[in-house]
Amino acid sequence: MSPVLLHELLSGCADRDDREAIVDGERTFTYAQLRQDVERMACRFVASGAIRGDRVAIFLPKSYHECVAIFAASRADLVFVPINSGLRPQQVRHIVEDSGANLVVTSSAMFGQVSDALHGLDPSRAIICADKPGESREIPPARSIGEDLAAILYTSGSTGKPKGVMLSHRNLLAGTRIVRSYLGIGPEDRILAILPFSFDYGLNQLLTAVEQRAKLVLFDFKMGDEIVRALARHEITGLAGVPTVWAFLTLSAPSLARTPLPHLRYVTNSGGAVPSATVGRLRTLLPQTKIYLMYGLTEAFRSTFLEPEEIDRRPNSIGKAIPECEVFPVREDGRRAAPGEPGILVHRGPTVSMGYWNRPDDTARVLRPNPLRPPEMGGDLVCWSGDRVVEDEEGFLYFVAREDAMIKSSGYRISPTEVEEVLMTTGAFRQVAVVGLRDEWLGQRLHVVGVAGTAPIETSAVLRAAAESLPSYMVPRSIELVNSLPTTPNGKVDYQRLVAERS
Amino acid sequence: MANTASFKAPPAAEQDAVFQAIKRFLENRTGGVFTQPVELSTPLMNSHLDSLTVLQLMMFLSDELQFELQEDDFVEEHFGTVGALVARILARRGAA
Repeated sequence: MSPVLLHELLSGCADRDDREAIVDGERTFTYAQLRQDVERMACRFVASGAIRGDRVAIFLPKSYHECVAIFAASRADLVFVPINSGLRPQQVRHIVEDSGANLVVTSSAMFGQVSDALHGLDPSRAIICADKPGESREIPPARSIGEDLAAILYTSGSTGKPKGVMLSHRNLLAGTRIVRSYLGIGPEDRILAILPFSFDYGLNQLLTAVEQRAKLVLFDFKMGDEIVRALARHEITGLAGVPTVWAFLTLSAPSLARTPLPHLRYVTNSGGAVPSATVGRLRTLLPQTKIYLMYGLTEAFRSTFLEPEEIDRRPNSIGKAIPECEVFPVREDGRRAAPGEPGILVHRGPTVSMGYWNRPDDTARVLRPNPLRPPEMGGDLVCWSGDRVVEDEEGFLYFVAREDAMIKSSGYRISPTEVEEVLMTTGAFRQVAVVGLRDEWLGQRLHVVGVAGTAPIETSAVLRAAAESLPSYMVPRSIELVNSLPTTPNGKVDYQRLVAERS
Repeated sequence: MANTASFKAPPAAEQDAVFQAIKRFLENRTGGVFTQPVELSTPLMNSHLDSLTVLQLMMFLSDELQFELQEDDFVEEHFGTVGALVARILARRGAA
């Protein structure tokens, strides 16, 4: 029977239990071990008092324990909320508080960070250190069904603090099945996981590997050459990255040109467009490797991909809808855009999320009735991306621009508002705007345009304060002072003009 | 660092300027990764910096010290310690 719940990806196929599942540093774990540890961890979750539907926040570095905790949440009828281990205390606190997680899984090394972040919150919340043994008891089989909430992934929105995108078991399994099928992932694949599992695209590496009993190598790096070494050492067949990863590999990894990588079957990009020049360099450096350009937003998990055979002809395209889904541009008047006519990218299909946790108004903005078919005539709920795209005569889609001021930097979707709020708390500015400027390495780099308050601004002190409150990918690169910010006719800061004047 | 001393010694002021720039970035821009004062012997590769912060450090230095980043700047041996990176950047600027 095909799996309905996330942890059921681990059941069945006893003949493949001795296969290597996860490589974490020098340690390798088989599928049999993984399944056993998932069961044990699920028992610990239940012993801590968690009941069906409770949220469990997972604040761990990319590790075997993190993989175990993700599947254990499903096994125990819980909802997992992965938290990027690079986040600062105030973001960690926001996610735990907003999701209402009453259980936090971390490690002894990070326990202090968690306690600091949660200081003053309801103390009844249980904190489990995954690396320490704990009380457990046998638990009954899971009772959830595919429509139940499986995960909440936090992502930045154009307004306010990060929001949690709700994904059902059915969403996650559809995403796993769809991506695995078009990438042709099978049991012989060895996948390098360099992206965080708090990111839907990163999480998908774990899920597709487990579904296929393939091998997943967990990996963190500081320099491009380290990636090259890991690719060679583990004979990696599949690598998923964001634009910055390709910049690391093509601009700062001298060993790539002299290291043959005959096993590397495919690489995939998502989290922002790769400059055509980078695609060209990758094609030269990895002539045997298929390059898949993908596009997705957490709200619909994954949306489009470009067949590798098309990449030389249309290196700027985001391709066509992933299997089982339909993706098309819609004009402002609600009609489907004709080829050449820009429209908002709309996504239908089994990966459309359940909306934002506890935010019905925001959900109503992103999940809307199908514009082409009314509900009483079988119309479904579709995902409204906020990305303006255009389709060519052959049905290939191209990204045009964001509808709002959201920034894509090093694979992350960043809300200018969130960075601006932190900058304003330094007291240095009267007014401030954060914009994304084109950057060869990051896709976009964060640039601050500010109006000084009464005292002169000390740039380094401001950036220091920002670095204390924001994860590294949200810390601006540069600050520029102006006398006033340009505004649109209705009095809002004119972000488009700020960017245009600096491009 | 004994092996860097055998090259022609750069002026102490220039060496200090590079060191101070690295120190400034690591102490102010990494949000508490370096709680101790940064010294020439402070390890970089063997620290909690992530890839993005290493990249940001190099971009910062390239802006502050006015040199163009190139592929060979990102070789692990230059990132053993702060001192090794200082030596690399001095060599780069000397050669330019």
